[in-house]
Amino acid sequence: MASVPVSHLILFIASIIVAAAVAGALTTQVGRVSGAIDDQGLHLSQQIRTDIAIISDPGSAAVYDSGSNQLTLLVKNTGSRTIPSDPNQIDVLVDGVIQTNVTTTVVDASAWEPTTVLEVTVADVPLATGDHRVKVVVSGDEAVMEFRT
Amino acid sequence: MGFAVSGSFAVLAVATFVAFGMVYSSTAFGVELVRHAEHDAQAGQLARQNTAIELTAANWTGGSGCDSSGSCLLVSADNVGTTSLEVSATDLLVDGQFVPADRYANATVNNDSTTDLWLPGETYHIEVNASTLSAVLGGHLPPKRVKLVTDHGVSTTQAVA
Repeated sequence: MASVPVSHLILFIASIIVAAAVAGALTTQVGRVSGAIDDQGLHLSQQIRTDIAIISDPGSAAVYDSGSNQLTLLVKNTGSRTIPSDPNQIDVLVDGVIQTNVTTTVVDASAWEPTTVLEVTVADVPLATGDHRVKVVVSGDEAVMEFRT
Repeated sequence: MGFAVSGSFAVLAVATFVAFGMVYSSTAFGVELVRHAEHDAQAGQLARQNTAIELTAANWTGGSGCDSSGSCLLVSADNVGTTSLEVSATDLLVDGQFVPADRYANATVNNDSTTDLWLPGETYHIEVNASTLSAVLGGHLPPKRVKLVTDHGVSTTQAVA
């Protein structure tokens, strides 16, 4: 008759171990999901806070230098967060073709803070005489300008 | 068996409670971040809709306020919108070239050079010396066009007279 409590004890310990394992797995997976939700919320809020405008004067000759095949754009941060000014995080498309030879300089501050202006220079862009379109994409936000060479 | 079932149920119940707490806190945090961001974006959009400026003068002239070269660029603009603008966040482009605010010879709002606010109905006046402009434009004087851009990206352009 002593074997009944012993077998009950064994079943009790086994069920607790199984429940603990399930609980551990559950909290671990939910922890990962909540971490992903945190990251997604932060990423989404940064996207919403990002807003840019190309303020270059397309009517001037300062946009494109046909001698050096260089395109120069002034892009203003009109959003509410500091945007990384690293050229690797800024996509520039000229007539739909992505450009790789891009350099950037913040002209009126040390970082590309709200209301400050970033000068984006694209080198080696041979453009034929005519109408052209440039698009700048940063953190999901984009700005487009049309100009003539 | 009764103890085993209720014991394991208790462990799973606690784990479920903890998991729910984790998901709830991160979801609430994310939603709050996005809500604040959307609020700021909507406020910016509203300010942009209510912003309007008008260039009233863009003159290449000589005068007492100019440097020894005798010429300077005088730009005047009115805030004809309903938002308060910031002088430090307003940009001047001359012939497409950015002119940093610290290179203006003079910048006033209704003759006040100390304020950073450009309120509705007020006139912002900028004066840039010929020597400064010559350096910015690579010697290509006189300038032909000016563009003024506000902090919200609203801009206006005018030919220099």
